[in-house]
Amino acid sequence: MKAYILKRLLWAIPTLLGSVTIVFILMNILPGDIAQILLASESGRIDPQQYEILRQQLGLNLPLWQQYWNWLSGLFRGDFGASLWTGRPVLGEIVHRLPYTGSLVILSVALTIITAIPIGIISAIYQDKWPDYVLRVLVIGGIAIPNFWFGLMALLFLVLAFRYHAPLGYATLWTDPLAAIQQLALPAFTLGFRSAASSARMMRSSMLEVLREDYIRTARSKGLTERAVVYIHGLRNAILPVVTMFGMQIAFLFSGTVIIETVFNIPGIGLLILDAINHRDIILVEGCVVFMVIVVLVTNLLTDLVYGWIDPRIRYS
Amino acid sequence: MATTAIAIQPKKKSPLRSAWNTVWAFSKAKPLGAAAGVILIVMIIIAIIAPLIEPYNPLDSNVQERFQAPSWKHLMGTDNLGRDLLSRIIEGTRIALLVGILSSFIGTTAGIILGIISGYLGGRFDLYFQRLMDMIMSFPYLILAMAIVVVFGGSIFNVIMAIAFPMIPTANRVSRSVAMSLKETTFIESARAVGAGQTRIIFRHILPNTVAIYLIVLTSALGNSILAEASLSFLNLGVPPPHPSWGRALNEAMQYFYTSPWMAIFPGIAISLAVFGANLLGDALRDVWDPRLKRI
Repeated sequence: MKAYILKRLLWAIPTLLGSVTIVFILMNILPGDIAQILLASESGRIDPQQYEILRQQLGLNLPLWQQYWNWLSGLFRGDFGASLWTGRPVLGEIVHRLPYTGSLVILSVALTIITAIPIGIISAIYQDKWPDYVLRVLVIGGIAIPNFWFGLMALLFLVLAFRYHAPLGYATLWTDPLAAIQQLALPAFTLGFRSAASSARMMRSSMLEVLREDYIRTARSKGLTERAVVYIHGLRNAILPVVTMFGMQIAFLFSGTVIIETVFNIPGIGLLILDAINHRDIILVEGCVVFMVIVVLVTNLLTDLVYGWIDPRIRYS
Repeated sequence: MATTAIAIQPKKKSPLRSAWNTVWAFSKAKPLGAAAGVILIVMIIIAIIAPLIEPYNPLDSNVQERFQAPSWKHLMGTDNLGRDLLSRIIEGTRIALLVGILSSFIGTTAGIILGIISGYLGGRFDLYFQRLMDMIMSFPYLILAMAIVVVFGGSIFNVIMAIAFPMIPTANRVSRSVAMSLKETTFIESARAVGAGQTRIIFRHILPNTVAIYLIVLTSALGNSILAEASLSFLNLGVPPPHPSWGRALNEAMQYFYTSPWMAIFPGIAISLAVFGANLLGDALRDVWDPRLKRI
């Protein structure tokens, strides 16, 4: 297991460096620079002298490789630069917003796990009988409905039926867990139902595949109860592809936060990126994207480690 | 299954006839998939003949008829500028399908070809190229698309590219594994033995064998790209105005939807229907064509 963890950790480093470099290339690909954008958006015309001063302040007069080096070494020191819009450090802004997005994503993942796995198992056990049909229709519907539309419709329903008002401020799981669950249940469901639906589908097909294996027949023929066959011999194998998918779902959920936070007006990182885009604050956008990439890579790493832990075959291959 | 039976029939019928037979066999095997196909075809027809069936000009605002609830005059009501919502949704079909079809086509095609080349060549190129794909995959899909639109600006072309680019790694991964297993088959070996070059083997022998996989990946990508376009427009980063887009219609509806809920309901139904159709068709095609999943 140690060798496996080490190998996986070593692989993660070049991927992280590469992804971060892609962000840098993307943000520097266009002719013109941040100084130009800033001045043009302030006054509409560019004063050469002011432009030169600003370029020096932002370090844009340095050669590109040196800018890259400064930026990269800054990242490793936790210095993501200062926001052009608020002037505050980018990392500070992100850390300030993180608890909201974190609560939202954690609740969503919890919801996905609680719903998707049982739905998949029930659907597989009752294949082509009515519980399976009902659940499959739910799952297909869940995959097709755009989450922002579902969110709006749910809000509309709550408003019309219960005179619901969206909370003015949100609690987080760290400050007030109960209030956070109460306030964020609907946004978390809206964010997560699509990935819950695709995980449930994955769970179903994986379970069906496993239940046809020889070792399941062996388990049945040695007289084990159906419960033991399904939950001890079946589930442990069938859940593997679903676990790998959870890793990918995190990236998917982070995409979703931008939209869900807009619909429900939650002051998280998704809304921060949008605000940064609307204020043409390239440095803040860059910082948020890098942060999300790091989160996704770390979750992928953890997923792989969990995968190695529950499936010994992976460790030794 | 049914399609294979048709494929090995002797060539006595016209190609049109055999194509029709394939479609018929598919519809009998997968009625739900066929229904989804019909939804998509109807949407494509609507997109093509849009100007003929729009009751009003989708861009004409009429201040006196703002926020009208659905009625016989305006079947889906009007929006905050008094524009007819039905006409805007019909016109929006064009943007949704144009962006959806082109971006999934570009992204999937590029991904499939790169995956085949990488899988066939193997070795160091494959190793480095796949790491590059891993890096792109570490970006949340929508975030990468948003970043591309922000950097290059929001024109139709840039939106298509922004949606297509993050699709490449997924398609690449699927076709790479197919190419790797095809590489070991005897017919590729014999092609190599008669002296066919790498380019010829890749494009003449491996590529045609990935057509089924290609179509499966393409249809499932279609649903995602329609949704991605709607999401980008919803965030005001999609196709620029005045093109009516379903996503932007939802965004505009957000401010008024307690008082004018129809503004949010109909564009959402349009998006759901398109995504639903594309996903269901993709699923049905996968069931019919992918032999590994046939049992399930």
